[in-house]
Amino acid sequence: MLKMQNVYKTYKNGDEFLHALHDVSLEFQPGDFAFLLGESGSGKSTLLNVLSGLDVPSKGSVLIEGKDTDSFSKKDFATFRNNHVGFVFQEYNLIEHLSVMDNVMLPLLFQGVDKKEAQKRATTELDKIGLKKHIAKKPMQLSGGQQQRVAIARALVTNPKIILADEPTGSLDEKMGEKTLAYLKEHAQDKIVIVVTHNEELADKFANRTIHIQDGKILNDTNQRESKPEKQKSLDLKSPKVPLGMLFKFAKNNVFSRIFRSLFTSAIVAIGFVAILLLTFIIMGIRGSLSDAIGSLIPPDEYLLHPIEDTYIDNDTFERVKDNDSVEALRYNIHMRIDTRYRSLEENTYDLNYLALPYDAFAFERDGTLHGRLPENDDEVVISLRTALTLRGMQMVDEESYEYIFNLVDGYTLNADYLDSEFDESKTFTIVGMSEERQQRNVYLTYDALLNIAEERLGNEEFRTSAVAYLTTGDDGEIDSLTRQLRDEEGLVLRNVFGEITAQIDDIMFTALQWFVGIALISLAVAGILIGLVIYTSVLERVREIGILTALGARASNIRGIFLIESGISGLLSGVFASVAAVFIALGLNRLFNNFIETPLNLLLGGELNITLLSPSIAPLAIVLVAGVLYAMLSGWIPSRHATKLNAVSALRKE
Amino acid sequence: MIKLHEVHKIYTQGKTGFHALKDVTLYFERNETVVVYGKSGCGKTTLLNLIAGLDKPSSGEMAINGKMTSQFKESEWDYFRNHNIGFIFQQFNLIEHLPVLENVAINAKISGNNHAKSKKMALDMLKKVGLEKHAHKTPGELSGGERQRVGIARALINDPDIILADEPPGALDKKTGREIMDLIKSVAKDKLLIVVTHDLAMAEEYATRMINLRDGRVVSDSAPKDQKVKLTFKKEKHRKSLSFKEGIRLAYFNMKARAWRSTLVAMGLALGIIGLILINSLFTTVRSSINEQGEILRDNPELTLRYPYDGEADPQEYTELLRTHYPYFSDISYRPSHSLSIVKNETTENPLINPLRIDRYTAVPESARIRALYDDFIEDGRFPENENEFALTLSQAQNLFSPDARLTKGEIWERVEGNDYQIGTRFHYIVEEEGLLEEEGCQYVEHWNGSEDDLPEEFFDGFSSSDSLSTHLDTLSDYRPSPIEFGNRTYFCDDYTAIPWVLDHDTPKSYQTLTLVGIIDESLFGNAVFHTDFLKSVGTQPLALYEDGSRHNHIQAVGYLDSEHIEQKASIIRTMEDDGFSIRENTQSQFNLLTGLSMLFTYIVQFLFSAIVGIAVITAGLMLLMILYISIIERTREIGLIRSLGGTRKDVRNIFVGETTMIGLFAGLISVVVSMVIILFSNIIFSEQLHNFLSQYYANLPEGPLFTVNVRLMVYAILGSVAIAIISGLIPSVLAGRKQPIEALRND
Repeated sequence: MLKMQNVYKTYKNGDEFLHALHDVSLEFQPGDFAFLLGESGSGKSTLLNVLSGLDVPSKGSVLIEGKDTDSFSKKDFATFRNNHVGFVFQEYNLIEHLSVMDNVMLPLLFQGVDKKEAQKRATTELDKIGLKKHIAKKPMQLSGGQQQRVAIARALVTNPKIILADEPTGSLDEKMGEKTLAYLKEHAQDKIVIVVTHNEELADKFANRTIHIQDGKILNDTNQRESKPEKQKSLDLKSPKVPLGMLFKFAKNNVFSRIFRSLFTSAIVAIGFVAILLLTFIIMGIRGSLSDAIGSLIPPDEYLLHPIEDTYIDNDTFERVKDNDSVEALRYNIHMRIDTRYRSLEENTYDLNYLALPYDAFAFERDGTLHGRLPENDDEVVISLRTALTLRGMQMVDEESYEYIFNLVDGYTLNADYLDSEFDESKTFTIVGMSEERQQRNVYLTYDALLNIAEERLGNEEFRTSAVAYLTTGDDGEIDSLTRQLRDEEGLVLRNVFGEITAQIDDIMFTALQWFVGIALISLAVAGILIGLVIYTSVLERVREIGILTALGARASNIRGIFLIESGISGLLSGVFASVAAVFIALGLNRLFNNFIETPLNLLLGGELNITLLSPSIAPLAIVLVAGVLYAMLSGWIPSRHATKLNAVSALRKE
Repeated sequence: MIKLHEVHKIYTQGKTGFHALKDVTLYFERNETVVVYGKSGCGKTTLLNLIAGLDKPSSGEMAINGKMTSQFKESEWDYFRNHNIGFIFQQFNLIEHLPVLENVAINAKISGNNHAKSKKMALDMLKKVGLEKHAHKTPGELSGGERQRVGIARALINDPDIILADEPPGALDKKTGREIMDLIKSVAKDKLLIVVTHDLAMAEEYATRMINLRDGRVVSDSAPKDQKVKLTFKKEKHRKSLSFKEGIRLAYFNMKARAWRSTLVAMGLALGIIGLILINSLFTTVRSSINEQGEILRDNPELTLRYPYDGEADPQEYTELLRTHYPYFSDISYRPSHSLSIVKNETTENPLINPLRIDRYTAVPESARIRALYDDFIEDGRFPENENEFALTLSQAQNLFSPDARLTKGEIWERVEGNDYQIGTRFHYIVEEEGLLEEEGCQYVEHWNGSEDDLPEEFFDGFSSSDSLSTHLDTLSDYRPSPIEFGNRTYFCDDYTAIPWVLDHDTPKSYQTLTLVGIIDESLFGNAVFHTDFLKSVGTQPLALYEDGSRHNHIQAVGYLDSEHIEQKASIIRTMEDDGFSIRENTQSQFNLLTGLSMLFTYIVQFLFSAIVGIAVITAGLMLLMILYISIIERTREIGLIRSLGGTRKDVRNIFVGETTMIGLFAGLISVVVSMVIILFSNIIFSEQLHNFLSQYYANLPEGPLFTVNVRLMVYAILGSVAIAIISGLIPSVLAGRKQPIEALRND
C-alpha cells in the first residue's frame, strides 16, 4: 500500500553532507498503528516528509498503491496529500483566525466539497470527539488537549488512507496524551497510522508495530506481516478546487491582523495616487474654467470667414458660399461705429456715437438679460442699458432699476440723423428691448437693417472684410472638407475661433498632464517596491500558516492567490484612501481659492469670475481604483511566488 | 553575592494574574554551581530573568554585590549585565547574519572595547571553546553543539562573575548536551554558575547545590546559605556606548544578509533622487542657455555701421577693412543702405496685398553664436544657402496676407514655402508730395507738350541763357523720372539737389527673383536674412542726386560685437564715431522681458517637476520608515539579545541609525551612478530627439549635451539621501531602543 524502497536522503550542511535517511525500506498496510521511534536528528521527520511528498528522496523510490511517485509533480503530491493523507502535529497547527468549525472544514473545502456538505461532515467529526459545543470558538479559547482533538478531527474529516502524526503528544500532559492516542487509534483502525515520537512507553501501550530509527537507518521493525506483491491500482486523485472566498478570508486576515501596518502601507501608496488625482483635477478644472470663460465671450458655433490674400469678400463669393449646402446662415460681420444725432423722447437731441450690431441671442446672453423683446422688423431696435441711460440723461443705476429704466424707453422712437456723411436720410426706429450691457453704447438692429445702412454709408467694400457663418453640420470631417473647399476654391479661411482657442488650451493642458502624471509615477514605482516588501514580510511571518495549508493539500497557486489577494486589498485600500483624500483636498482647495482669491478679485475688479480650480470627476477616480488594485497585485507577484517556494512545512515542527 | 529577599513576581494578563514566583528568599555565593530544576511553568526562567535584571520583581528586594537593585537605573542594569553576567540561552540566540567572530566580539564591543581588541578577545574565546576554525562562518553553517559553544564564548568574553544558563543542552541531543555542560562547568570555575533545567539527572550530575522550584515556590534547597548583606548605594559608572562606526559595521552585515530588501529600499529612495538630479541638470542647461541668450540680447551686440563713401563702393573691400581695423566683432557683414521690397509673387501669381518693404535685414551671420539666435525656423525652414534664396521673419511674412485671415504659423509657411518672389533691389527716386516741390520754388506746366516753348516763364529765361532743356534734364541720374510729374502737371525746378527725394519702393527700377526658404519664428533681432553674395550683388544705391556724387553717399554694414568686447560697447562706438562712422544700435526692447518671462516660466516648471518628484522622495522616506519598523519587529530577538548582553537603548538605536545611514548612502550612490549613466546615454543616444522635443518649448537651445553634470549636485544628492534616510529612520530607531529586553527575548 505505502512502500519505501532503498530510500536515501542527503542534505548538504555547509561543506558536509548529512545522511538523513540511509537505505530505508519499509512497507505499511492499512491497520498499521506504527510508532517510529528515535532521537532527535535520527531522521524521523525526514521519513515523514518523504512519505507525504513534502520532500523528495535523493535516491530510491516511494510507492503508493503500487504506483511509483517518481513521476508525481508537486501538484500531484498536493492532491495526494489533500485526498489521502491526514497530518497531526505536536503544536496542533490550527489556523488561529479561523473558528474550530472552519479549521475542520478546510481540507474538505480544498477538496472542492460543497460548503453545506462540508459543514455537515465537520460537525459529525467534531461531535465524535465531543467538541460540538465549541465549534464557533477560536482555537486559542480551547485547552491543549481540545486543540489536538480538533487537529485529529481535521486529519480524519476527509477520511484519508494515511495519518501521519508528528509527536502528537509532545505538548500534552501524560493523561491527555494517552487519551488522544487512544482516540486516534479508535478512529483510524482501517488506516495506516504512523506516529513519530521518542516516548517508548506510549509505543508499548498503543503500537501494533514499532520501528526504531537511528542515524537515518532502520534499527529494527516489529512488522509481522508478510510483504505481498501489489497490483498497481489507479490512485483516485480528485483535483482540489479551493473556493476563492476561502483564499479571500486568509488574505483579509493577513491584512487585519496587522491593521496598522496595512493602513500605513496603503496610506504611503496613496500619496502617489493623490498627487496624480489632484494634478488631473486641477488641469481639468483649469481647462473647464478657461473653456467656460471663452465660451461666454465667443459663441462656440460661430465660424468666421476671412479672405486670405484679398482684402474683402465680394458679393458673388458671398452668395456662392451662402448657397453651399453646409452653410446654414451667412452674413457680413458688421460692427459699425456710427456718429448720429438722435431726436429722442421729449424732443431732446443727443449726439450719440454708438456701435451698431446685428442682434443675436448669444450677444444678449453675453451682455445680460434682455428686457422687452427682440426686434421683429427693420424698424425695431434693442438698445443697451448704457444707451438707454444716455437717452434719459441718467447715471449708472443699480440692478433693481433695470426694468424701470426699460419702461422709460420702451416703445419710444429714435430718429437717427447721420452726422458723418452726405447721406442725409433720417431713420426712425422703435425701441422694443434693452440689454443689460452697462459699458457699451450699443444699438442692436436686425441684420438686414444694418446691412442697408452699411451699404449706403460705408460704400461697398469696407464692411465686407469678414463674414460670420453658421453651419448645418457639426461633423469634424464635413467641416474639414468645407474648410478645404473654401480655401482652395474661394481663397477664404473658415475659422472657429472658439474651437481654435480651446484646442490650443487642450493641447497645452494635455501635454502638462502627461508630464506631471508621468513624473508623479515615480512615487508609484517607489510605492510598488513598498508593497512588494510588505507582502514579502507577510509571507515570512506566515510561514507556519503556509505550512499548514501545504500539508492540507493546498496547491502553489492557492497560496500565491492568498498573497495576491492581500496585495490587491492593499491596492484597493490605497485607491480608496487616495480617492477620498483627493476629493476632500480638492474641495478644500476650491473653497480656499474661492474665498481668498476669487471673491476678493471679483470685488476688486467688479468681475463675475466663476472659477472651479479643481474639478473632481469620476473617471480618474475609477481609473485610480482599478489601477491601484492591479498595480498592487503586480507588485505583490514576486513575493507571492516566493511564498510557494518556501519549505514551509518544516516551520510546523517545533524547533 | 546575590541575595533575594521575599521576592514575588506576578504577571498580569488581562484581568487574571499569574503568580510566577512566590516569596523566594535565596542567597548565592561565588564558586557555586547551582542547578534550579522543576517542571516547565514552575518559575525557573522567571527567576533567572530577575537575576539578570531582564525583569523586575513585583515585590521584595534583591541585592547584588551589596547593591540594592531596586535602586538601579536602566543604564546601571545595562552596565551590570554587561560586566557581571554571562547569559547562555537554550535557543543559543545568535545573530544569524553576523559571522561567528562578530557574534562573540559584539559583547566585548558593548563593554566599550575597540574593534581590534574585541576581535582578538573573541578569537581567544573561540580558541577556548575549540571553534577558531569556524570564526568566519555564519551561525547557520554550524551544528547545534557548535552554536551553543559560540553562545558560551560570547557569554564569557567579558569575564563575568555570574553565569546564567537557561537549559543549555535543551535543544541538543544527549551526547552533545553533555559535552556542552562539561564545557560550561570547566569555564565557569571560580564563578557563580546558575543553571536552569527540567532534567533532574543532569542536575544531580553537575550541581554543587540543587534548588527545586514548584509553582513558584522553593520547595527544596540542598545547601541553603544565607548571609546578612551590607547594602551600599554606590552608583555604577557609565561606560562608553557602542560607537557609531560599530553601528555602521553591524548594519553592513545585516544589509548583506537582507541584500535584496536593502537594495530595493535603497532603489526606492534613489528613484526620486535620480529624478531630482536629472531635472536639475536638464534645467541647468536650459536656464544657462536662456541666460546666455538673455545676456547676448541684453547687451545687444548688433550695431549698424555707416560710413560716408563716394560713388559705388566695393562691399567686399569695405567689410574686410572693417574687420581688420576694428577687431571687436564676432560677425560683420555688408548690407545695402536702403530697404528692399517684395513686389510680386511669381509662383502663384496672386496679387500681394501691398508690396512688402523689408527694412530690417542682414546677411546670414557667420558666427555660430549669433546664427543660433536666428535659428528658430518654422517647421523645415532654413537659412538661405545661395544668393537666390532668402528667409523672412514671421511678422514680415504675416504682412503678405490679410491680418484678418489670422493664419497660423504653419499655414503661413505652407503658403509661402518655396515661393519665388520678385524682390526690388534698386528703386526710383520720387517726391512724395506736390507741396514739397512748391516749397522749393519749382514751377509747373499743365499738359506740357514737351517743347521748350511751353516752359514756365522763369525757366524759359534761365534755360535760354545757359543750358538747353535736354542738358537740364540729363543732369538727373537714371534713378529719377524727369521731368517730375504729378497728375497732368509737369514740374521744373531750379535746384534739384534741394528737393527731398525718397525711394519709391513700390516701383523698383531693378529686381531679382528669390526663393523663400524659411520663416524665422521668433526673430529676436527682427531681421530678414539674405545670402551675403546677394547683398553684395545688390550693392549700394547711390543716394547722390547727381552722377558726380556731390551729395553724401554712404556704405553700410551690420556687425555683432563679440562677447569680449561687449562691455566696451560705449567706448567702441565713440572711437568709431570719431573715425567718421555713424552708428545705430538695435533698439528692440522687448528682449529683456522675453528672457525674463521664459526664465520665470522655466523656474516654475522646474519647481513643479521637482515638487512632484519630491512626492516620490517623501514616499520613499515613509517606505523606509515602514520597512525599518517591520525590520524591528522581525529583529526583536536580536534587540533583546543585545539588551541582555548589556547594550543600552542608545546602542540599539545606534545600530538602527547606522543601518539607515548605510541605506541612505547606498541610495545616494545608486542615484549618482544611475543618473550619470542616464545622462551619458541620453547625451549620446537620445540627444537629437530630446533636443528636437525641447526646442518646441525653448528656442535657441545650445548644440551639444543637454544634461549638465554638476559634481556639487552629486555630492548634495548623496548627502541629501543620507539625511532623508536618517530622518525617516529616526522614529523606528527610537522605538527599537525602547523595546524591553524581556519582551524581545520572549517572543519566539
